[in-house]
This record gives sequence, C-alpha cells and structure tokens, in this order.
Amino acid sequence: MKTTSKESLSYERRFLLKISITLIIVSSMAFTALAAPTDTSGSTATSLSPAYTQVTVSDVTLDPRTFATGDEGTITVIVQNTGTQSVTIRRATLYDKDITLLSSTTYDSVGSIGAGNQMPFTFTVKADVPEGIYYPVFSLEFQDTGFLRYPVKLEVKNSPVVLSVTDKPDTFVPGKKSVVTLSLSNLRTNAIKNVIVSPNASDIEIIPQNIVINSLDPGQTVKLPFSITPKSPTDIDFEAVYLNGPNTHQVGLILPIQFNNDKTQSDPVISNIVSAPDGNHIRITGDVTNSGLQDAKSVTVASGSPAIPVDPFKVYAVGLLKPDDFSSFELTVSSESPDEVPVIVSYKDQDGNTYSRSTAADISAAKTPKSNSSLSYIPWIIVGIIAIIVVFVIGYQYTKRRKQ
Amino acid sequence: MSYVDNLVSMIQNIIDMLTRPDALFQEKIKSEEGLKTPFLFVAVVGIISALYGYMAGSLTSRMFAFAGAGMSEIVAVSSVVGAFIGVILFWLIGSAIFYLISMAFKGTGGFNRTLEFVGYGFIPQIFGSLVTLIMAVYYLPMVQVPVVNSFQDPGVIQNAVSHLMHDSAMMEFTKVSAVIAIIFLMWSASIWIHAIKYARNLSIKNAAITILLPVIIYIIYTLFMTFMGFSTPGGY
Repeated sequence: MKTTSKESLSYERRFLLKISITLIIVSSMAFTALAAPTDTSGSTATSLSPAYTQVTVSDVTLDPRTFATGDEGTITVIVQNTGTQSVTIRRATLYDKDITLLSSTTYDSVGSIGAGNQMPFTFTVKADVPEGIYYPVFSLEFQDTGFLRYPVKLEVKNSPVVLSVTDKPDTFVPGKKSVVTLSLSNLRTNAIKNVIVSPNASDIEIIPQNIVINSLDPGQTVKLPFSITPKSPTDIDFEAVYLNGPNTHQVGLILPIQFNNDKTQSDPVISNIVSAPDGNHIRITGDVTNSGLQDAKSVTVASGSPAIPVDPFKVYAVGLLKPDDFSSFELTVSSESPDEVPVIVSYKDQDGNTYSRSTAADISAAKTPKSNSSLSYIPWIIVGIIAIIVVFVIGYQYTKRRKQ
Repeated sequence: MSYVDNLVSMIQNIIDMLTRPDALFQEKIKSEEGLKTPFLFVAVVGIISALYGYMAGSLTSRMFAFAGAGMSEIVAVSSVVGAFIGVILFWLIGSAIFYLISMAFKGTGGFNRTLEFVGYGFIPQIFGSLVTLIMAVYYLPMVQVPVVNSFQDPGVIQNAVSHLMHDSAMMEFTKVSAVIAIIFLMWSASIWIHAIKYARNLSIKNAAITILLPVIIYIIYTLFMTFMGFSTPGGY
C-alpha cells in the first residue's frame, strides 16, 4: 500500500508539475503576446520571429511633393530589412478610400528582401479630391505571417502660380519698341519645373519668343522682360506652362495693347512760314521747333504733293533737334504749285521709327503778280523824256559851237 | 552880296557848261588852274550817290538781318562811304585814262588841268544821280529781299544775293538806272570832249576819239551786263 501510496503521490506531483509548466508557458506566451512592441512604421508583429520585425519603411517619396486637385503622381515607399535574415514578402499594396490607385503593375509576388537590403515600391495615384491632407496606407504582407502597414502623408493643395505685369510703358506707340516686364511667382509649397512663358499675338514683334525656367522654388519670383514692337492694337496672351510633378499646368495673362500718343515723344512743330518769289520759283522759309521731351533725330523738311519741289532746296536736312531746340529751313517749289502746299517734317525716334507731320503753307502771296507791273512804264517814259532832253542839249552844244 | 553874286555866277557857269562848253573851256584855259570848283561838283555827285548807296545798303542789311546787331550799321556805312569814294575814284581814274589816251595824240597840258576840266564834266552827273535816286525811291521799296539764315555756307549767301538781283523790281531798277547812267554819261562825254580839247590842246577830232573810245567801251559793257546777263561774284 505504501508503494501504491508513494506511486500515487508521485503521479499527482508529476501531474501538478505538468500543469504548472503548462500554465507558465501559456502565461508566458500570453504575456509575450500582450507585451509585443509596435513597429515604428506602424506594423504589428504577430509572430515571434525577429526577422519580420526588422523590416521597416526607411523612406517615402512623393512626386509631386504637394498634389493639386486632379493631379496624378507617384508614391515611392522604400522598405529596408534591417535584420540579419532574409524576409519573404508576399504582397505589397497601397489603398485609400479617396486617393485613386492607378498603378497597373501590382506587387502580388514580390519575393525576398535580403538582410540589410532595401526594396522600393512605387504606386501611381490620382488625387482627384479637394484640398486637404490624406493618408493612403502602404501595406506589406509577409510570406509566413504578419504584415506591415504604413500611412503615407499626401497633401493636396491648390495654391496658385501667379503671372502678373510689373512694368510697362504708359502708352504704346505704333512701331516703337517698348519693354514689358512680367513676374512669375510660385506660391505653391513645392517647386515647379520646366516653366515656359510664351506670348501669343498677331501683327506684333515680341522678343524673346519665350522664356524657359528650369525650376522655380516655393515662394520664388522671377522677372520676365519682353521687348514689344506693336504694329496695330491687339491683345497679347501670355501663357506660362509648368510641370507639377508629371502634371502640366498653365496660367495665363492678357495684356491689351492700345495706342496713344507718347507723352514724352519728340514733337517737331513748324512755324514762321514765309513764302517769297525766287526767280521763276517760290521759296518757302520757316522754323521747325522740337516741342517734345525726347530728341528728334534725322529731321528733314520737304514739300509734299501736290507741290512741285525744285532745286536747290527740294529737301532741307535739319538733323538732330533736341527738346526745345529749333532750326530754320528753306524749300524751293515751282511756281506751278497750288496756292496751298503741305510742308512735311519727318523725323525718327530712338528706335529708328520714322514719323512725319504735315503743315499747310499758303504761298499765294508769293505767286501774286507785282502791283507795280502797270506802273513800270512810267519810269521808262521819264527816262525817254530825259534822253530826248539830253540829245537836244548835246545837239544845241554843237549847233552853238558851229555858229561860233 | 558877294555870296549871291557867286551863286549867280556859278549857276550861269553851270548853264554855260551844259549848253556851250566849248566857249566856256576856251575862257577857262586862260585862267589859273583850280580844282576847288570841279571837286565841289564831283562831291555833290558823290553825296547823292551816297544817299543812293544808303538805300541800296538797307536792302543788304535786311538780307543779313539774322547776322546780329551791328551788321546793318556796317553795311550802311560801307555803302555810303563806298559810293562817295567810288565817284571820286571815277573822276581820278577817268581823268587819268583820258590823259593817257590823249598822249597818243601828242596832247600837251598838265594832269591837273585835265582833272579840273573833267570835273566840270560831272555837272550832268548831278542830274543823273538825282534821277537815279528818285528811281531808287520808287523801285527799291518794292524789292522783296531774301533773308540769309545760314552764314556758314558761302553758297547760301551767293544764292541769296542772286535772288535779290533777280527780283523783278530790282531787275527793272537796274535796267532803268543803267539807261539813265548811259544818257547822262553821254552828256558828260559831250562836255569832256571840249574839256580834253582845251586841257590837252587837241583837235576836236582827237579829243572826241580820246573821250568816246573809253566811254563807248564802258557803255557797251554796261549794256551787255545789264540786258544780256548779270553776274554775281562766284557766278550763278
């Protein structure tokens, strides 16, 4: 019986020991499961295998860095195995209820990532959403068990790129070159690239035809000078095309070109016109004064049709006339010209554009026959009488002498 | 009374000189040489010519009105002085020419006597100058004077002078004054023939040749320049 009692006691002790060990193991497992650490990348280790826990997200790249509504772009997640064993990855994906995944290539069978290696996962997305911050989730499933989830921050912001006029002349003059300066400001939070600013207009000469900017950083503003030589009133449609990531955007600006008189331009005025007979021709003299605020260059004065210019002064070259300076001029026209003839002053501005102005000159006084024509016989009659008297006196002298 | 007598005597001398110069020189050759009275006649001609010169000079002054202050005074003085001196020179040079030509005919008599008698021959020129002055008063105000604006180019000035001389009133006056000058020059020549005859003791024929030769040449030249063409210095 003692033996039986001893055997019975030994059996009970072994049973209790087994139960105790089992409880210890189960409680240890439960503790281990409850005390398992959370991955920095947001994954949770469901296995005790240290290999899976060493797989982390090392870098995330978005292109563009900030999306605009409707923009497409890429999200590249780089996963690194920081452990000492290779890990087999079964599947990688990105999902969000707002951000649309466009990638046709999937990561359904990725393979293993060796110890210390990195592996990129690129997804094409479309942010067809309003402005805001979104967190599409990158999910990585391992072969045996477990997964890694990583929410990626994606910002959608529609801050503009602004094209504006910072400097332009008060007035545009036909054929005169003027400089218009635009400014392009990037108010977005990311850089834009491959910016092309080009003017579109007809019947106008614009230099340069376009301006290219490789990259415009956030908050940066660039000046864009354009030389404009208009020929007729028109609108210039400036267009700035740029890339936000792979997306092409554009911003426009319309600059109306309306002609007005330049308030500072040279202004040659003809005055003091006098006409007088000049042999068989008529001579016109006068003054030309620059009453403008700019130099008048290559100033010439000529008589226009229907006047018939003749030598020696068909054209009178004055040359440079500074503001408030004046010069006399002289023209000769045929007496066959009409009573009123145009006197045309031509001049050039700094850019070589030629201007002209016409002033009517009344030359009828110079063509009027002299009033003394009917009286011109009287002096000759007097001369004739004197001649007769002198002849008579001389004859008287000789008659007297002969008598003596 | 002596002044009145002298004045009456002078008027009588003038009338005699114009109507019967031969008799007058025949008497004067017997008297002493005296240049005072002939110079007086020549001076009167010079003064009248100076007045005419002043009028002609005023045209030139208007032409160079843009030349600045003082230019018109210079032109006026030079015109007056030039006209007066010109008459005196005409007297001296004319007398010298007559004297030289008369040498070909073995003329005798001094130059002063020639100068004296030729000076008397300027009496018709007094009337001629007066008539020319009247004609100038009539014609010159009608002349349209061109204004010279540029004094850098001589061609401009020459052109302006040419315009002035081709003015219809100016051309008419030039012709009239030339004919008047010729008429009174012939009257003077008729006196100078008698003057040189007695001053140089020549025959009437030789005296006529001595006077008429240069006078006719001068008249032909004047007629040619007046009616056939007009030339300004430098040509046009």
